[in-house]
Amino acid sequence: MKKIWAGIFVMACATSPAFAQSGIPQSASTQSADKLWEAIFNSQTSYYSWKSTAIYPPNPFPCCAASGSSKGQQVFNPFGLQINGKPNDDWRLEALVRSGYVWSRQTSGAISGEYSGFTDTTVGATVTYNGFNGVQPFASINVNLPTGETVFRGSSTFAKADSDVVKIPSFGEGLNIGPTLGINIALNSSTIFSTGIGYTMRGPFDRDGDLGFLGPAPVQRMDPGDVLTGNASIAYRGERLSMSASISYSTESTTTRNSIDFYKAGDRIFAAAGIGYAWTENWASTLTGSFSHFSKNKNNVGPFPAPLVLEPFNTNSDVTTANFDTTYTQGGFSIGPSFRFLYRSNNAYNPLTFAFLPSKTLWSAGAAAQYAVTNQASFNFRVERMWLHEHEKPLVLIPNVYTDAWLVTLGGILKF
Amino acid sequence: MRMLTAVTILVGASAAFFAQPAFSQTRCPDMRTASGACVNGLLARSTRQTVLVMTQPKFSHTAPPWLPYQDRENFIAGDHHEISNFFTFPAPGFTQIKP
Repeated sequence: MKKIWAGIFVMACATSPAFAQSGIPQSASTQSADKLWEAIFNSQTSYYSWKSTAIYPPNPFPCCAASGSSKGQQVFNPFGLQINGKPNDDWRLEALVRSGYVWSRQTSGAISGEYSGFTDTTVGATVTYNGFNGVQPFASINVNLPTGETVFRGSSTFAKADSDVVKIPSFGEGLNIGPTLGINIALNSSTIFSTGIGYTMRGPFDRDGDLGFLGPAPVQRMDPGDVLTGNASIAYRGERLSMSASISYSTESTTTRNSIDFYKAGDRIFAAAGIGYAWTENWASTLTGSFSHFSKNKNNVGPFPAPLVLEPFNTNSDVTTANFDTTYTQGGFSIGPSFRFLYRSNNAYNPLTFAFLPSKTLWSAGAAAQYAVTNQASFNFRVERMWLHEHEKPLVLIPNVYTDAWLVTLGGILKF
Repeated sequence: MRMLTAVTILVGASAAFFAQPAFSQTRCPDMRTASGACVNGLLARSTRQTVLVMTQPKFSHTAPPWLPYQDRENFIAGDHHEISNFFTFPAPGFTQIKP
């Protein structure tokens, strides 16, 4: 039976938040002698390589633009340390520190942008109280420290890649603080209803400016809106079958730029669901999906302070994702194929907000493997091929954009 | 805002209604049911993380509050409007000079 669950949990590596893997293999953690504390160190290194028919960085030279392609590479190495413990039977403490290092480069003809450096760093803790039967309240506080970079001089700004291809859209932001309160309610020993509320206080940061008609602007001061989110979820784990569903609702305050109201993002609904099944002791599959919808934004459409105006057309994309994985597990080794689909709706250019609203379809196919070398160490490996199609923008006569990409990830979960 | 207020009230009311003090009983890896039976420890851990993931959708673009190997399972699609305005090459012509 443990093999069945091992297969399902490995598959959970490719699922929606509703199927969050609740723990790592016992083989890859360090426990204190009294088994009340454990420390987990994890490092993942991902190499991305892509080629696209989009000309980015922008290249004004007809010969290179006509050749019709740009390319890029990124190496992203996030790493983290988590310490979990039970000081006594009634309390559980989890502490986390996480950061990362990135190198990224994009080239279009003779023009390229490159950047390397650390990303932001998160420190946080979660406290859980187990003193009640049937109910488990918990509280979490996390802080995003701005150890990354937000102002990019010269061509280095072009190192930032499409976040639907790579994992991160940029390399830093401001000081963010995110408290969360939640509660688990055990409906029975195999079913939990959970609900929670979180607030994200997002601090200001400088970003590279532009050469606006008012004159050179070396930097812009961005102050993102704070986000308030409520969530409800239900999850079930049986002997062979696992199911979960989750929904959240977010509302955001106004984002300012150089102390002037810039826009207020529309409220967001996010839903996710998943199902997993252990066919045999060795084979298991999971299917997960998610849907995200933003309401209309309110924008300041001019260069001067003005009341925000509700946009006539929704410039946000609805995003639909689906993931399917199957895993074969034998002892400490597991391997299997994985498939992913992403669709962003909308396909137009809004001249009022100068926003491109790409309609995108992304398909990926690959394989993932995991191997527990010893009781204290395990390694994971993933390779994926991605195909992204950004649909044409007829209002501005921009043709279809096709991007092909490879992803190779090697990670380790280790005792230290 | 009303929905979020309702969620807050639900969290508090649930704790008051369902909670029962845990007296002497079998040690469990995580939480217990109302009758004192042990709940699947990995399930409880998973649902706690789900709450964290779902309630902090914009906490950090580069360092979310979980270990890196969990990134794939905790994926929430980015806000394209925000990413375009915060991180990509700024649109010309309508940028105010920083005071």
